[in-house]
Amino acid sequence: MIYDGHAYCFPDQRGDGGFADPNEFRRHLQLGMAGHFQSAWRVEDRSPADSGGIVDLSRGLTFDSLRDADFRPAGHGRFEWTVEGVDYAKQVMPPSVIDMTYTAENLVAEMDYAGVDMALLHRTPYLGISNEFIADSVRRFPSRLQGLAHVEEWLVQPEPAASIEKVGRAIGDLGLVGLQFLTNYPALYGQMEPWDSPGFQPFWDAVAGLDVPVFFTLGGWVGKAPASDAARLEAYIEELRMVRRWMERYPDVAVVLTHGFSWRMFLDGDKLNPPDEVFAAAPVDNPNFYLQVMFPISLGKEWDYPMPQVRPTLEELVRRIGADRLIWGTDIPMVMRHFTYRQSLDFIRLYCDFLTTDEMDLFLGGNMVRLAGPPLENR
Amino acid sequence: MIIDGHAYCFPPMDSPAGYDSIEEKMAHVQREIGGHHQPAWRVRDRTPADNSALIDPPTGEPHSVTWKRDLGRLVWEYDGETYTKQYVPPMLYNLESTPEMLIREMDYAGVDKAVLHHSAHLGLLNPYLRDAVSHFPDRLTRLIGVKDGHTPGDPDAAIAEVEAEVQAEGTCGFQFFPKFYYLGGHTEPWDGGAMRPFWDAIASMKTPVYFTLVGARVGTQYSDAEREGYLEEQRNLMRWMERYPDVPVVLTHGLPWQSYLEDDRIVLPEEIWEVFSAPQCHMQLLLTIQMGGMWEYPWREADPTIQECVERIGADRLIWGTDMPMVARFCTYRQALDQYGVHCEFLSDGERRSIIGGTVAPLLGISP
Repeated sequence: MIYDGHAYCFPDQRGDGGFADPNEFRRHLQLGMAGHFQSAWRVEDRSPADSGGIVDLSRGLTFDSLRDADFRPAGHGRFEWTVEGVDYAKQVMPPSVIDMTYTAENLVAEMDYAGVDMALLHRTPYLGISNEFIADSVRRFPSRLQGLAHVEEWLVQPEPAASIEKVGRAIGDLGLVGLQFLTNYPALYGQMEPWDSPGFQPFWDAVAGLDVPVFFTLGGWVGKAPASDAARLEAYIEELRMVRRWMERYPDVAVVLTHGFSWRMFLDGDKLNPPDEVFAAAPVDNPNFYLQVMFPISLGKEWDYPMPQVRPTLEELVRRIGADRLIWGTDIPMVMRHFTYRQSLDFIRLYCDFLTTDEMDLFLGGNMVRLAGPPLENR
Repeated sequence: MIIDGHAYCFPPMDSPAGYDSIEEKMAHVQREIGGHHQPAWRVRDRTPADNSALIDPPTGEPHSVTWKRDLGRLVWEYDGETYTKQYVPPMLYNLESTPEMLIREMDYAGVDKAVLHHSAHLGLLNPYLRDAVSHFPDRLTRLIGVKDGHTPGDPDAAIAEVEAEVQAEGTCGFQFFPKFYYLGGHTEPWDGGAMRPFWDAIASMKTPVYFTLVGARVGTQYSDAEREGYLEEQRNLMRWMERYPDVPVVLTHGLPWQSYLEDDRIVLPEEIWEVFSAPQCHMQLLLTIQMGGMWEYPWREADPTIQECVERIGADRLIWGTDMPMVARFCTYRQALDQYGVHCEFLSDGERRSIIGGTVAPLLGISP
């Protein structure tokens, strides 16, 4: 069983994304694209540019720092904006995302061709917040797809009862198999308290009672960037410690760290060099802790297929965490801006011969099957 | 300037696309897909299947099938089962390759210009490609195609069609398929006889002629007969070039690489290089689209063959092409470019520049 532990389906980015106010969705989208590391260029002559036209980074990465530049999803996976009559573009999704939507049909066709049996649909507000959209995608392919629930992180503190009800319905009624929580979103709405602070506790208590895994996507920082790389690393490590504390409070809940560690922070020439503090801070010793491994989406811009540069790091992850707690994921369709879907699988399957057959089976699917439970059609 | 010497735009594969009927169009699709090396599978359980669900192996005749769409891909029903084959990559969700999509891919991969090609199973594409190029005249140029099987019977009509397309602008050559000439029921060599008036007219237009010799003899794939048939096609072309020595010629797709595969090496006979003794003869390098199902990016196994091509023909007559969007079933567009732009370490910088644009530029009227 090959199970892609990190995939996406999303509605038309030119719509409302499930938000009551389409402009709020647009702000999320603009912020997401502004902060993305993909390169921007000037449309007219394809000369390199930056994201300065849509965000004032001197004010930090916040809604207030967004600039009015007619930011728009332009089609073919590309976002465009206009500054003083000049158009700029950034390709965060691959060009094949023609209508700025990625349907379950699109995904399953790619899975068929790449030889992927199942996939877990992930969430991020700038791709839409509708649990119903995800549940509908799963219902159309109940033997192939499972999905994560999402609750607006910035509403958890101000509206705990509604948030609890929403996640309960997503799991209990809609059949989603876990919760994804993106930790930097409360701060985007001015809530600077840590996400394990007392204001979140009723929500977390309720989530813990649902008997589903929680997928944490760490934000690192929000607002003004830390003054130095060291400060940025410390902020990240502190958040890993927060995950550790959270797991100590809820020892029966399986936790998945999406996207793996913040690999781009640890780029060191032709290798990754995560410091020991990362492994010390993260709850790698907790048997309920899982780490997603999805190097191509983070590093595909720097390193081409089959990405031999990451193999020592993967070996280190197996040694420190264990193949029984590593989860292969791709970020499809976004990963196809760097690798084909099959390459996203084959860079592990064909090239990591330090993994035993059993380890490979767990890593590429067995762990996810165990974590997500039976597919909808078997419930 | 980086130029993809071989790309495609086409309307949905399950549309008439210029043919009088959808049945006529899908007959071409069935012949193409039924002889293609991409794997087929049964849709309901993804069990491997083969081309016998499309073409009857003993007779080579097409089965009666029903074409449909499923998950945005082309499927066919035969004998109570539904099959598919990812002939185009899954990313073509509407089974079409629009000029807008190709341009966005080119933008992202860093390709400046592309030469749009023809094939009968994609449609009678002159009007479609004319429109595509008119929207992106700085980025796209096109070849002209006709129904090659009809040309001997009515050369004047074929000449008129080519002339009209040349006058419509945006063209950079004429593409000829011996395969479709033969499928039109003609058995004599295509370089003379009833084709002579047509070729005389084409030669007078001073436009390059792109010959698709690979796959000319239907039903002989990967066999001794294919190899002998291919060399016979080259002999036809050599006679053609002797008659029209001033007309630039491009061999599309390169050579029939798969047919000369021995273990993991392409072993080409000495005779296959003779056609390049004519200085007018250029060759496209499209190894990935033929070999991408067997070899992995960056296709190191192809390096000796590319090196041999450079030594035998010269980088100044080799043209990088991709077969985009079809090549995306194996790699990204950027990877297809990087094979020559980054890998193939034996190439000099000048040779790289020639292959990825410099060679084809003069054929397009562009200063290299």
